[in-house]
Amino acid sequence: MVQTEAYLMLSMVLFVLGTLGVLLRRNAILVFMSVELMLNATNLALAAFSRQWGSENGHMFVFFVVTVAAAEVAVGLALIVAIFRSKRSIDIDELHQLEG
Amino acid sequence: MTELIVFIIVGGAAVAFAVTMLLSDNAVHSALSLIVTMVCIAVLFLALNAPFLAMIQITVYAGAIMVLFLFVIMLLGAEKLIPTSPGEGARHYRWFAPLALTLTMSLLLAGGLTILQSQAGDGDTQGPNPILRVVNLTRDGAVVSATANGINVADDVIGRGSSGYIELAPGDTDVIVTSEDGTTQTVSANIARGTAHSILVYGAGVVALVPDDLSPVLQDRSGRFVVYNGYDEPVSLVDFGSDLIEDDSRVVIADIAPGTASAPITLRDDVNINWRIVTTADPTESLYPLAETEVERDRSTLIVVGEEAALGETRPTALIVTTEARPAFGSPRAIGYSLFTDFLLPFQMLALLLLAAMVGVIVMTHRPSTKHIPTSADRRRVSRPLVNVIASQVGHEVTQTDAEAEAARVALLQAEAPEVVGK
Repeated sequence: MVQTEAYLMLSMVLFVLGTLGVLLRRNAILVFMSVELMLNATNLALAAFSRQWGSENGHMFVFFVVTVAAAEVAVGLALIVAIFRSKRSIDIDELHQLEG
Repeated sequence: MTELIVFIIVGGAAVAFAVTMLLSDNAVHSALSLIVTMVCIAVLFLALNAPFLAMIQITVYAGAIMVLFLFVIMLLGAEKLIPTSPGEGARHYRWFAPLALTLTMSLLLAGGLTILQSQAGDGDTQGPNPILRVVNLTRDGAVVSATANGINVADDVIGRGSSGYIELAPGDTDVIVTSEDGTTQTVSANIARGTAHSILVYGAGVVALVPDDLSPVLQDRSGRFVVYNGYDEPVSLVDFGSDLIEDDSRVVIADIAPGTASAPITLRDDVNINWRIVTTADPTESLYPLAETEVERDRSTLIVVGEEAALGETRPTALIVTTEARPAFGSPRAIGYSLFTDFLLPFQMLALLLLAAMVGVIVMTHRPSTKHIPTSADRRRVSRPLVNVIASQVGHEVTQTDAEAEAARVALLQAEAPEVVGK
């Protein structure tokens, strides 16, 4: 039986890797993939806690996170396609029209 | 031990492919690495007793979402859109990378220390809180109230009825039952996590705490039965069989001692049963008929045998209490049950969110059509040079004389005629 701690550590390592991807990569699609990795890491922690407490609520949260992630990816990729159409680039460093 | 080996291998692969995803220059390679990471996480879900989540993880994440990613990458041709050297815009953000690294590493350190110091992982997994209910076998006396460690379990349980389950804290529990005539009875027991108990009230105010087996019924289309004997001599449960055939009775559960519960039996729901409670001493004499009992699939049935006082005499009686068996932890059945009871409103909100997202995506990617639809003015502009064409064919201006103008008009009409018909 692997302890919940081990799952939490793995979940946190994956989460930090995802954070690094969001902060450091410049390809907007890769930033989105990193966000997905972060969501997956939290799902793993939720499932581990769910087993620890013998309650299905954690599983429900994972279910909702997966569904919301699907909606988020659809909207995000549509945004990327729209931005690519107008700017011919998906480099997020080039998208700074809003800066003062 | 096996789980630990699987955890180390699969967890290591998940981290390794996540790093590959981050470092890869080609977006398609990144997407493929992320798919492998997600499959690894699905395997970890299996190890965490969450088979339904593992399936969702593979179908929705590794299937639908990642295919969407790959589709967009290939649609935009975005595999290597970003040059490796920092471009014009990146110059403003050169200070950002070390800051991001420092922030995330401190997050990792702080989180890791917190997890290591916490008590989250020590010891075994813990089941859900125990649950308790009241089953009242007496006909007249209502149970006024039942409390466990001061927590109210049920109020006013009518005769021959039962209350719903109430969640409690685990541990040593004192159950106090107050009857209608003011007498109180106390039962003490240590109630562990993940268990279910019934407080039985029967006979002349006897109170007993009986464990209920609500674990999933593993056989298909089957139900579980337990008989508790509150009578003062040993009883048996006998199936008297069909009335048409002589001597086909058989004992289902034999010799249940007074004050004890039988071992659970599991029966398929396609058997016809004609049960009676008999005393073990005289198996032909029926104490109480249970003719209308049916096997209900995935349900746990408690049959309480006891005595009741009626019209100045006591007579044997029995009460049947049927409860839904708990679905196995993490199974699709359990998730579905949760989804359509406690989480129905969030589920519906989620459906609305998905609908809104779908409409939003369509609006965002919709581009007004640039294809030009010809109007009648356009046709005019096209047909007017026809006069010049005719003039060049004829060799002189078509509008020179009235007769020639008339001829030219006829020629023009003829030239335009198919188009007019075409309208």
